[in-house]
Amino acid sequence: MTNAKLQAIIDSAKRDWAAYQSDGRQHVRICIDTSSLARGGQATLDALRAAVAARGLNVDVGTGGSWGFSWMEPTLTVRSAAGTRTVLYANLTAERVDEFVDRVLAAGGDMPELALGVVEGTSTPEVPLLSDHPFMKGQVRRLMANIGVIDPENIDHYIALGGYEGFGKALEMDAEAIVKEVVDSGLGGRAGGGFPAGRKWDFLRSATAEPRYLVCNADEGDPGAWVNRVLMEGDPQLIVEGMLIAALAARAREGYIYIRYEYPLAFARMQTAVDQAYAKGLLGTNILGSGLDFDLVVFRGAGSYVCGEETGLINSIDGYRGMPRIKPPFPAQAGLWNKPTNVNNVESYANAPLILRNGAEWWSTVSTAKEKGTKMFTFSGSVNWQGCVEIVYGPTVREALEQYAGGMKDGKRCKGFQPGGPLSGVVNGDELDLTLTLDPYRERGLFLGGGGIVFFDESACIVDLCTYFLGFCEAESCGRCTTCHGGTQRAVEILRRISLGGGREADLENFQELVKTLVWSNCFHGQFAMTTIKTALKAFAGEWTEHIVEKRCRAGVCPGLIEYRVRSQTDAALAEARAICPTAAFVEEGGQWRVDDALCVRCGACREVAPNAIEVRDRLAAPIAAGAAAGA
Amino acid sequence: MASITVDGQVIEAPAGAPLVEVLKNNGFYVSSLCYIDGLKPYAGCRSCLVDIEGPPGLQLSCTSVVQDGMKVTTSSDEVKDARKAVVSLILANHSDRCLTCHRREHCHPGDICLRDDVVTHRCLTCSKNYRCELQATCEMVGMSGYEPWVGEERSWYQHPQPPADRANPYMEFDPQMCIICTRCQRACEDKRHTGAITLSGKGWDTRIAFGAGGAIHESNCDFSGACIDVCPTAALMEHPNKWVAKPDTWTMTTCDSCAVGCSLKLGSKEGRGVIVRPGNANPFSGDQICVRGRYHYDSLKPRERLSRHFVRRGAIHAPASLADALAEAAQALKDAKSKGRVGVLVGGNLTNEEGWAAAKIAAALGGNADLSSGPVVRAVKGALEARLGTWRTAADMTRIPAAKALVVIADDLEESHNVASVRVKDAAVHQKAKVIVIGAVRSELVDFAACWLRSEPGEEGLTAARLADAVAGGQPHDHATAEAAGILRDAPRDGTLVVCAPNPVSAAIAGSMAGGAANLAVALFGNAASENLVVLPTEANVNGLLDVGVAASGGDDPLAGLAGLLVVRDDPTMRLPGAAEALAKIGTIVVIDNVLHETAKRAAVVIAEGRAYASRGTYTTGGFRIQKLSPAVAPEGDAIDCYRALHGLGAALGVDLPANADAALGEIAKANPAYQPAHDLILGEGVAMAVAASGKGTIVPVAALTVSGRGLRLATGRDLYTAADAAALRHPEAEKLHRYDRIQVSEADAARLGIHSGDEVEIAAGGAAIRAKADVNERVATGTVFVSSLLQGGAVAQFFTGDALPTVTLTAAAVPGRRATQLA
Repeated sequence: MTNAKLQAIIDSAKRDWAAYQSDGRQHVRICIDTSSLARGGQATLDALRAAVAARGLNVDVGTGGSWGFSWMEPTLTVRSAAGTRTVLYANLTAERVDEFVDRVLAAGGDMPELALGVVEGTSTPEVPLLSDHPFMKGQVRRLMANIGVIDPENIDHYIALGGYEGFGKALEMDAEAIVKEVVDSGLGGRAGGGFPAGRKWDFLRSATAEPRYLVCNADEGDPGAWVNRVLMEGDPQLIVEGMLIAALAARAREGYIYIRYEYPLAFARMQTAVDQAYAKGLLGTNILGSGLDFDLVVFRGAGSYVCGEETGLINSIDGYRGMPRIKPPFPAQAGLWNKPTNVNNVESYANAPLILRNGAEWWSTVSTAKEKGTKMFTFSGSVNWQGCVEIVYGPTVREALEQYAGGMKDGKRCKGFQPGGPLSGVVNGDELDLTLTLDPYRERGLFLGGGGIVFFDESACIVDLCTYFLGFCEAESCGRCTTCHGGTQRAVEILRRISLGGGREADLENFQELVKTLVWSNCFHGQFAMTTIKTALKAFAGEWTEHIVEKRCRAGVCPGLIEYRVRSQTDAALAEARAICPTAAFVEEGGQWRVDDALCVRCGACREVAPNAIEVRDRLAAPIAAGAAAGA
Repeated sequence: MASITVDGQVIEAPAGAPLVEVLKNNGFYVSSLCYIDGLKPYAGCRSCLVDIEGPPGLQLSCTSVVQDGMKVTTSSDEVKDARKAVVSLILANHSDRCLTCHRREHCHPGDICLRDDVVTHRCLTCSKNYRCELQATCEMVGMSGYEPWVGEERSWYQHPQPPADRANPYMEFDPQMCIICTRCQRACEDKRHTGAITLSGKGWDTRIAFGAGGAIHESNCDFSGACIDVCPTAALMEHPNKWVAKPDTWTMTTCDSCAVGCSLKLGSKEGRGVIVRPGNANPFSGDQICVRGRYHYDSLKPRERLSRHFVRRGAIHAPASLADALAEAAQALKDAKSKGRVGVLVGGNLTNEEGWAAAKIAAALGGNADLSSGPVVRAVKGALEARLGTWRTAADMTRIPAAKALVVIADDLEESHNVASVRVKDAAVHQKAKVIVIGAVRSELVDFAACWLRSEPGEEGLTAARLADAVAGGQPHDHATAEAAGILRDAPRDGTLVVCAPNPVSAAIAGSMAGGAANLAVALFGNAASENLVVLPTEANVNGLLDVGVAASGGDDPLAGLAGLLVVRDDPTMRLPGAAEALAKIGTIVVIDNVLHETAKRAAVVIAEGRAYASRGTYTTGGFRIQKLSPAVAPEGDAIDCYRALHGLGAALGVDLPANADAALGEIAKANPAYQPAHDLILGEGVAMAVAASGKGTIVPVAALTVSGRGLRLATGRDLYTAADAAALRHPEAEKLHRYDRIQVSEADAARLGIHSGDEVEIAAGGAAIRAKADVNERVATGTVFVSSLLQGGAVAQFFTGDALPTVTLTAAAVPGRRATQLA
């Protein structure tokens, strides 16, 4: 590396980091990200600081990003004063902080009941190595290498651990060479498209109009996807550096990071990261004396799902209504402010520093699949572990489910999963042997999206599921295309009617009609809004017939097809069930309690509190003749 | 040109043209419910699907462009089915059952629906029935019987749409009928540059909203109705005559409201106007008109216009036959002539032919025909002639929207000549033209201006003259003038135009404005000044009337020393200070008009005529374009059209006038060859007049007008909304929105005086006073009040008696419990 200014920055950061690591204090780094905050992380942090102060302990309490154990936040690491041993703890609630401080920080012992594993140092029988934790085993943490380790609000931490080395290398290369390196690595778009990122940057570079813009799409709106959030909240500088490298490759002068409204913490951390990069001279004019100018703006969206579509996002930054544009022209010709623009996902940019720092070969050879590099996934739904992982492309969904999601909750069968957001479709649980790569889904008319995979078990009804996702598409339609805003409304109406027991055989035809018609929509949102129904009709054909013809909901969800009944008059929990009913649907007749069907709203609260006293039964279905059942 | 094949037929079309327009213009049917010709495609309705050979699937014809060799199919089964499927999704959110009913042609209003459908779901109860684009589309696409969504619980109806907005006098908006094609939003934004309409919400909650989502009249809507023209359903409709606006006749004519001369199509039913659409015959106005053009056909109810002729019998007006009235009028005028001078005053919106006839009659009576705005007109004419050698400016107005730099010198062009203002905005938006606005009040045009030289009221001309000096190299008067001069120096000369709309009330101010504008044109263009200056009189046909000899000469007071007076569609009490006293001294007054205004009330004979929309003839617009008027409405009752009235009076006076207006135009053309093309093209809609360049340009200093008194400065001008004929009646609804029947006061002055909008206030100076409600706004500057030139029948004229700029005291009317306060 020859840029002396950058070298000086790196040297200084490394010196500071070394001094910090060997300051003779215990270092506590607690995860403060959105998942952690939702699970009381702030209270834990406050209690921790108060307890440390009250005891006069010389302990450094810092904050960090998420290790990926989102279902067990707040997590925190404790690094011994000597720096020889680091242990990761989970589920530290504010109530247990005092005990934790006494046992772990003051006494220097372990707290095995909360410990996840030893990050660094020696394991004990009670606290094994973290790398042996089933959730961590097999993960290849490259993007997530720093997350949880560093303070995301301190650029020096990032630099000390190898940050901006990739940018330093890129500074010495010409644009073609950077593009070649990234193309060679095989980095494909991480939002599900898989289009080679290097080629996109090359398109932008060859655009004739000036100025050119880079946009980072952080409008991660798919329910059940939070990989971009983990990155932005855990290691925001990675994205800044990635965009700087892309700016060199594409000769762009200005960049925007578009963060969804619902990610206030990611926005704040990203803004801090950008401010710090400016302060270090890594952004702005004549960066590090190299002659490169690059300005980066962190932009907060206004809360619209379709702004995740690149032209909708561009419209939003431009100050217009967040509506996807008519293409052509494509953003590479006329995007932001009608100038050539390249839009990439957060994760796509974040990989660039790794490629430049370690070389394309190191980066790509980790994967033997067609898709190179590592990919972050989040698993959620009816699984035991709702967490975020970084793995190499290639394992089957079953492996991922068992290993990284801890299997289905309560050992239930996986009925199916959604591979990437409400537009991606649903897959039957019979097909868990599909690999986590792009092609198998494409072949089936689905797609693997940005990494948010949602599993559902037999308690989910496919009609209910479709209603939820079509309702989502309906509510998030921008309102341009008749086909989209009108079509999703029609679909939701039919679905609601089916769930109320009014299914008709013509509905299946009408669904097909909608599937055919919605493809005439302008953007992906409308074009793929019907994918959930289209794939569900195939993958769960029997269940549709049950709903429409037999008027039966096997999952016991569809309100018009089921009724709640009192099974046991003597169950002790019945009183609680009666008390919790929001509509007072329990009526007494001759000393016997029953549920008045007209009053019952099927909220299911009674069954939750009194599973033995309350049962769900078919309401409309004619009892299937024994012979017919046997014949089937 | 490219060659494409459509359904096997070869068509020539310009490469790159939007396919949907090419298909429509060549007679192929394509449903397109959101496209607006000439604007960028919105591609929202998705129904203009066609099959283009090559790419997979169907394509939208609005986003496709013509390419040589393209093969297009518009009528395959695949295309038809797809279109039906798309339209069915639109119908599902529209009150629709009639649109797909097989019995729709047999049903009549009041019939019991055989499908037991509710009344509100039926086209038969819709005011747009049989003139609805969605309805026509359903017929063409073949929606009959295609109802996949019938019987659904339509969730769209479960989220009640906002109630229809019927709170203003001009326009109704019923969101129930809306199919969110956003044509209105784009017409408002891209054609009008107003931006009063927006698309709000998302998903099923997406809907059209005005302003911030409130009532139309609370937004910045200026009621041009451009949105109504493009609305494919009954969502946006004219408020007046909404239910009867299915005309039996459409007549192409010309708006009589200002000198822009927009062409319009007036739809009439049994002789009465019921609807107006833009006419497209004037290339300057194109498809735009303003609120006056669209609604002032309806400014008065038919019974408020004159439907009988009257002769005075003592203290009362007695109805009379036309023959009696004409005979009596002629006799009265002859008698008056024998006693002294007889004057003739005509209105500024008379046609050339009517003006010519009036001038002939005036000559026979031994005088000249004049306008009651004659002093103003002559001041402008004189100012132009002194500098350019001619008053006929030769600039082609259609250069305005293509200009790169524009100077606008006006009281408020947006208000006085709205469509001209739209074209200035066109230039600002599409050509990135630098617009310099010189004016005292904050015009909407200021939002589009690169530079606003805010003058004191009445000093617009002086400000323009100072700018001219700076352009010519003199020391700039102030920083803003220097900036504006810099803009003009940098702008391409052949893309620069000066536009001036002189004040309608004060001759001194109007002359000064025209002089300042002419100076600026001379400073910029030298001897070519007249070719680059547009002067827009306030009234519609001032230029034409000057051409036929009206107002050519006359004094400062057209009513001075008269023994008799003939007034044709004019009311001198609206313009001439002291007119009431002067009229009282005139022995004989004969009025030809369609309303019984103050002058008519004093007349010995009143002959009822139809208004300009009943006339056949021509106007010469501000841009010297001869625009045709055709009788679009019938005169009320016994009334006759104005030319016929003049012809009859002429006959009774022994003046031999041509039998009809066309023949009169022939006579005009004989006297003035510039009118020959108009006469030759009498069947056409309009023709540009050849105006010779003067080849002369001299700067004549513009004198600063003295300011009388030390009160608040008084600004006035033509406002956008007041109807002139209703104002002549002092009609309380002359300004139906009630924005300009008020005295406009700045926020700072209002605060000092402790008044609020709606409070009663009075302005007064030298014995003259106007009392009205206050409108506190940001339009006027501190220390200034604004009063519309038509408020209370032109009451503001009484303040502009001499050459001095008036000032007034502003008094909050005494309210019980509050002391009156006064600002001076």
